[in-house]
Amino acid sequence: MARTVPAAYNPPDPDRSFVVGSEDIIDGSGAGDPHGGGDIASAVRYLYAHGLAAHMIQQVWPEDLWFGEIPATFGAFSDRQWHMKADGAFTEYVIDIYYEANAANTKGFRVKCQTNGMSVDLPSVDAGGADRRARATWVGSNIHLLSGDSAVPILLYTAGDGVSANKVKGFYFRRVPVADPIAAGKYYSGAFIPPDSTQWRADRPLTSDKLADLRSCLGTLYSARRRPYLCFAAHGTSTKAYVAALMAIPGSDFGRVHNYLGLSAAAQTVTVESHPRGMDGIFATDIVHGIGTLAKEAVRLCGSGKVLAQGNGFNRAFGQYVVKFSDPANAICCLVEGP
Amino acid sequence: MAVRMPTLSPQLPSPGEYFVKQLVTGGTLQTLAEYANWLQGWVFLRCVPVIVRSFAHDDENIVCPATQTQWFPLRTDALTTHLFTALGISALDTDGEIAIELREEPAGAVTATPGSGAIIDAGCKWRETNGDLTSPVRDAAYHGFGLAWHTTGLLLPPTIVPAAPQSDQPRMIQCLAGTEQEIGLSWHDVALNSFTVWEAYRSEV
Repeated sequence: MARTVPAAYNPPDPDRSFVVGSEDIIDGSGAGDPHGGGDIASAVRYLYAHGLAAHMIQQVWPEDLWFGEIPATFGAFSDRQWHMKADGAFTEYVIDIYYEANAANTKGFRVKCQTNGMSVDLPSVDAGGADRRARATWVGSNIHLLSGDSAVPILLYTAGDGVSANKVKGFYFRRVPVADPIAAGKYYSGAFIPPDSTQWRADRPLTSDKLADLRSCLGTLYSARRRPYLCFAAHGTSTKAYVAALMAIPGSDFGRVHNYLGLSAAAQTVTVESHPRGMDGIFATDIVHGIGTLAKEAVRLCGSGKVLAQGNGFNRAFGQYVVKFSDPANAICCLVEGP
Repeated sequence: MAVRMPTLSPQLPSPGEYFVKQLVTGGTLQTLAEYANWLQGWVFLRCVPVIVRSFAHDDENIVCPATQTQWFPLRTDALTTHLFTALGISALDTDGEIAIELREEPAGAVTATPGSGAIIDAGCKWRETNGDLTSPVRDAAYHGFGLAWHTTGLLLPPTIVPAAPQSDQPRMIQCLAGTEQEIGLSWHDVALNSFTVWEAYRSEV
C-alpha cells in the first residue's frame, strides 16, 4: 500500500469533521471522507517522516578537540567517542564537522560506528586557517539494527600526511527526514503503521479500523518522541567538572528526562541535577546548583568504556540541568535523553 | 485558513468513540485533528542544547577568551517562525559581548565555508556595558556557582530587513520554517559555556 510522505505539514482542520444537519453523527454507510480523515492521515505521515527525524544528535565542546600528530593512514586514531540513539525508522544520517583548516590533510576525517565497524569518510582538508564545514551522508548504515533503541558508540578519527590536524569546533550527527514513500517494516515498534495514502478516498466508507489506526498512530508518535537533550564528549584532557544546559519544552510538562547514558575510561559517578524555573524569561540571574534545592539523580558509570546504567527520570518543566563528573578527566561522553 | 493549534494536550478518543456501528460523532475526528496539530506544534518543536565548553564549579578565576566564533547547523521544523535562545556564561569581563545571527545554509554539499550563506536575521547582541550581560552569582549558600543565563526574551522582532537591521537589542530571532540554517555566535571577554535554542511558533496558523 502506498504511504507517501507529504513535503509540508498541512494542519488538518478540526472544524471540518462536523457535518451540518446530521446531528453530528457519522455512520459507516458510505459516508466517504467528508470529515477530513485523509488530512489527518496525511499529517500523521508527515509527523512520522519529519517530526522525529531531524534533530541534532551530537555536539561537542571545542576546546578539547585538538587532534595531535596523526599518522598517514587511518587506524591509529585520536578517538573521540559519542553515543547516538539507534532508531529503526531512520537509516540515513548527515554528519557535519566544523573545523579550522590550518593544515592540508588529504584524508580528512572518518566517522566510525564502533559496534559494527562501518565508517564514512569526510572530505580532505584544505589549508588557510579559515573555518570550514565538511559534510557526509551516511546511508544504509544499519546502525538501527545493532541494538534497537539503545545507544551506539560513534568514533571520530582523523588521518593524513603526518601533519598536525585541525581543530574540530563542532561535530553534529543528525537524522535525515524520510523523503521517499515510507518503506514497509521501517516503522516504530508498537502499534504504529503509517496510514495508507489512498484509504480515505471519498468512495470508501468510514470504518472503525481507520479511526482506530489514526488514534493508535497519534498515540505512538507521542510516546516515540524521544530526543537527546544533552550530548557532549571529551576524553582524557578535561579537568573541568561541570557542563550545563537549559532544557525542556516551554509551556508543557514534557521536561522528563528518561535516561542518562555515557562512556567512561574509569569507574566514576556522574550526577545530573536540575533547577526548575518558570517560563517567564527571568532565569538569568541566580541559577546555581545548590544541593539542597535541586532534584538529583546519581548514575554509576562503568569502567573500560562501557555503557552507563540507566537512571530514573525526573520531571521538570523548564530548567537548568547540570551534569557533574567525579572524575572528569576520564569522562568520554554523556547523553541525557528526553522524552 | 486559520487553524487552532491546541496548547494543551487533547485526549485521544476512547475505543467506543470510533466504533462506527455505534454513534461516531464529528468530535472524534475533531480530536484526532487537534491531537495531530498539537503534536506538531508543541511536542515536535525542538529544543537544542549546545555545550560550548565545560566549567569547574569552584573556579572563580575563569579566563574569558579573546574573540571566538562558532557556527551551528539547525534544521527548523515545519511550523517554526522564531527562535528563542538562552546563553549560559561562567565569567564576564568589562566590555564583554555576545552576538547571534542566523544565516541560510552555506553553498557546498560536501565542503563549505560556515557563515557564508545569506542573512536571514542579523540578530542581536548582549553587552556588558549596557547591562545585558551579568556575571554569575557567587553565593556561599551554594556549592560554588553555576552559569548566568541570558536569553533573547520573548519580544518578537520587528519586520526583519537583513541588510539594515533596526535594532540589535536582545529579542527573538526570526527564522525560516522547515529549512536547513546556520546559527552564528561570536563572543569576546565573556566565558560562554552553553547555549540552547528553542523553536517557537504562533499557535494559530
